[in-house]
Amino acid sequence: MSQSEVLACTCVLRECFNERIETVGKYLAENGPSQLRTMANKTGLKINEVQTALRFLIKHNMVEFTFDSVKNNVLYSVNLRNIRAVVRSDRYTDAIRSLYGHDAEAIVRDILLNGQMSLPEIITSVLESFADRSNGEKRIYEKFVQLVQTHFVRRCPALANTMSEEDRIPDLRINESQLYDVPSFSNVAEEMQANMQQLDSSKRPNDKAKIDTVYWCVNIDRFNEFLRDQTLIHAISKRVHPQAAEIVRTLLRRSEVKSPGGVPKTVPISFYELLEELPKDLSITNNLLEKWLKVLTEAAAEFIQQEGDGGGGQYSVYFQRGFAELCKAHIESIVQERYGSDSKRVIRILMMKNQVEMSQIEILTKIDPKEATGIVYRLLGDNFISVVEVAKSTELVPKHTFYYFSVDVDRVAKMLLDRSFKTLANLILRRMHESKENKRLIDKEQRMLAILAQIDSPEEKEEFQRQMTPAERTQLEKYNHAMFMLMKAEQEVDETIFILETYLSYSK
Amino acid sequence: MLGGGALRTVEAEEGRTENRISFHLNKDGGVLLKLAVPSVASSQVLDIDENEQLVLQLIEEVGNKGIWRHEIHRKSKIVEVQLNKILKNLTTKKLIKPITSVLAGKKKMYILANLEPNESVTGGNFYSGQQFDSEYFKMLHAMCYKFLEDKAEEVRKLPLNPVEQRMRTFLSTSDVHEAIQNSKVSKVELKPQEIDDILLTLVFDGKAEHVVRTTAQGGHTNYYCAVAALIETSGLMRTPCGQCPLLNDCKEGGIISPSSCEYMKNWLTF
Repeated sequence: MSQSEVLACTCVLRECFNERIETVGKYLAENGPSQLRTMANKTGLKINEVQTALRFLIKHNMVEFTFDSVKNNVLYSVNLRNIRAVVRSDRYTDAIRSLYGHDAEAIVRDILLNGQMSLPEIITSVLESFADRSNGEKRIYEKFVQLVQTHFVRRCPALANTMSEEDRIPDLRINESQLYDVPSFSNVAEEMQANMQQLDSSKRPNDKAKIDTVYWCVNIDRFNEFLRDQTLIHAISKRVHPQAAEIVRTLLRRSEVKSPGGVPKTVPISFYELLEELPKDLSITNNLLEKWLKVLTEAAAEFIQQEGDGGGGQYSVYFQRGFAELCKAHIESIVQERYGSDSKRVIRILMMKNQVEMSQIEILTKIDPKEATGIVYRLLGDNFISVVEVAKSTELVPKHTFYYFSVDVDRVAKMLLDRSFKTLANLILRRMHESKENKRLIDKEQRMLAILAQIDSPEEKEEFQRQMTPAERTQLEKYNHAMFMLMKAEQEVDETIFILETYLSYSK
Repeated sequence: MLGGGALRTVEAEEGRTENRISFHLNKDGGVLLKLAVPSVASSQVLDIDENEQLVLQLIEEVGNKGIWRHEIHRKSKIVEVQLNKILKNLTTKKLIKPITSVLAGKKKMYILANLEPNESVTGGNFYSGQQFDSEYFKMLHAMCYKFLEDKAEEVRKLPLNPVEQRMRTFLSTSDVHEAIQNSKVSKVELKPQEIDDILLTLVFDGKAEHVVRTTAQGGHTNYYCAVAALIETSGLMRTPCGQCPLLNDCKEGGIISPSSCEYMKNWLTF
């Protein structure tokens, strides 16, 4: 939880929600678990304002609460990872669309927008976006079941007992076995019917949720695991061949049910299991699979290795080593873009050979010695490389001291992750600034679009459109282009963040 | 006196012949005779004194690697002023010559006049004088990469199974050497070790992969093939903040801020 990460998260809260929610989130991020009263005092907000903000953040799984029995207080703590999931939400919905189609994408998008939803709420919300609503509930339900079975959506902890007077916080629990338990369609239909009747009879929205309503949320861990797999498959596709990448995809799919989360490598999968599991449309024969696996274990040795000989050969995908390679690739790319190709060569040698003397660097890199010295000291000054001094004599005299240069990949990864968070924050801040600067124009365009939708005649439409001057139109185009660039850059920086933080999670 | 197990070398000169025989006494008191290598120091009709002879001998011993002036001083224990005179004298008599090493440009080194300095001193074909010829090296570097890439492209089009494709993509050091010779881009003939050095820099650039295969005769051959990058440019470097030297000073509301950033402004109009 660095300062840069806190800054990035507060920017996300400000842009997506409002300043009050940002203030509360920022306070918790900077000060750790806190009480309601303390938050109100320190932030200058009223108690009920803090409560509203907390309610919102809790619903979005961004704040958790615990009861501290020693101090007899309820403590609220922030979950920065779930706040940053907002930035990654487009990647999550794209992933679901590619796997299960538009209906599933709509379900996940609605749950992400609302934090926690009951199944009737989900079905009702998604149905509104459908043009053809015939048999819509059943379609949505089936897609939902598919998402739960593949663990992309899970149940939220539910109220174990009704709250009594003495309980300071609700007792929310869930068993491992219940996490992916979907009620039958008939039960859901009944519940929806009951809700509709209550709505009709009371003639106002039913705000109070039933105590036994089951709420669902997106399983961020599962999405991150999916992105992890996609990243490795993409790297292998580039390094080896797209067909080889499909074999790795099958291996990962086969092992995902068997391997627990957070492990450095998958459970070994046998050759014959893999052959059976491969999609038939790839037309990969026994012989071809054998050849691809041989090539993979040589050309992509950091990503996949043979573990044993049983069942025709046992193969595992290595997450830790694979992400170490990807992290190093990012470090090299960053050094290359900032300092040049010669610097990239120097840092690659140091990452490959651990402790290297200046003279060896000059010989191996074949760069002019003066330039090589300049590169090494620049990288040293910017903390990409570190130096160890080994004295030949008892006194530390430069002439009689060995200087060994090396790269501490973990330290550099943390430094770059920090930089990435700062960049993310800057992109969001710039976006908000651009929107503020062009607010008048944006509002004007919105109003014009709303009116244009009601005008039928093309001549009248054209006449009305002349209300926006060419200069304003150009300005609006510039603004749209700027927003596009900033959104795209945000996604790209988040990809770097994902690789660096996944690598660091394995190296802990 | 002889100690137990001690060896003493007794040199005998037979007049002024070229050969030297050295006598070694082993611990049993027996005498071993050894024919020593002809020495420049003693073989010529030299009007040099003992000290000059000693210096010349020290220079001869290191062969074509060259010896640092300071090292001669340390080993011979001759005073600096005298040593300088001796070296000047020997140079004038064309017995030795001064050279400079690429690794330590400021060190004055000496070598026998009739020898050519070793590659570790001259730097080989990549050095013209004392300067590393980076343009020449970059040209060779780019050429080698092109050969590897062309080979990979050629093999990709063939209907081979993955293992054969991979094997055929590799080029040995001698394959690349031949290709460079045939292309006639280099006026000098490069040595195989120098080709290896160039190809290794491609490996260090992340553009090539290196494997060692054992030959039927039991030797080792280096093979290289072009390799694709693992990632496109890192996302961080596609933003102005990735390159910015002032990121640590950048703060909303400050003099340097994302809202007022010139780099951002230029980048957004791109």
